[in-house]
Amino acid sequence: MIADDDYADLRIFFADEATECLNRCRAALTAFAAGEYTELTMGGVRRDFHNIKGTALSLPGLEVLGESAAQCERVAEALDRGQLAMNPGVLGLLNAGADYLAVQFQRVRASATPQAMPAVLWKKFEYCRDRILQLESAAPSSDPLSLDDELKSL
Amino acid sequence: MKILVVDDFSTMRRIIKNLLHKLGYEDVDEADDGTTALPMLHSDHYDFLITDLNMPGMSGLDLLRSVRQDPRLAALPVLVVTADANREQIVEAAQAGVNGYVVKPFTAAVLQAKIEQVFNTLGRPLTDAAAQRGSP
Repeated sequence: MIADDDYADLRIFFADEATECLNRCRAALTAFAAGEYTELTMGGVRRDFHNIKGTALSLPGLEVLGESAAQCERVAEALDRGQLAMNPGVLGLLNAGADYLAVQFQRVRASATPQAMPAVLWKKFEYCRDRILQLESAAPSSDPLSLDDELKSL
Repeated sequence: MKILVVDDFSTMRRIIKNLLHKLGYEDVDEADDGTTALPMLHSDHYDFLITDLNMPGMSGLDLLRSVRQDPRLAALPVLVVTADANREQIVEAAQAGVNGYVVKPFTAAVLQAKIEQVFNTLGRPLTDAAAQRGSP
């Protein structure tokens, strides 16, 4: 259980707002993967994760969700900038991140402590983070990086 | 002191409002982006603007530029709130005339220190600004 403090009501309110954002993101990511039109751009997906990150880090007891949302935001930002290729591996990872967060926000709504992201998923996000950092320190390339095969092997 | 808080995420607006209330600032309005905030700034008198940078519609940076370009609002003290200590973004905000910035997450004490810093830098110590509108 999360401590019943000054922030209890805010956490529940946040869980509802974050769930709306995540549902929107998951629908958009599914549409991207299917090559279908979606009103929410990748920039919008990034902003949703960004908002979840900033707010979760501001609410005691939800820091673990803030760190996970930061991982999702980083990948969404790299996709939005065209650093990463929009392929099933990367979109699937982002969708898995959104799924994990959605489940944890259900726990928050029930006043339960959120759990850390599963290690395998975290490892994949860490791998993406390292590759994005490498890209940023390397000479600019016109081709987006495909992590499809690499993510499957992790 | 009358404050306008602008953020597209309503939980974040609530968090900032709660912190301001804890600090004794009771007269706080909110807006969900720059497009909503601008008419509010025109139709009412605000002593301080706290805005997020990353917002759809009119971003915090565009709101800041609009405020600085408007003779009626140009002197309004503005504090930006950001989730990243993104140097580029902060430099852009500084060039656009921001008075201060605070990186999320932040405590009530940090927020109070930032507000005081803004008013001290402007040569309008907080007690004077507050006196115009009541405490604090």
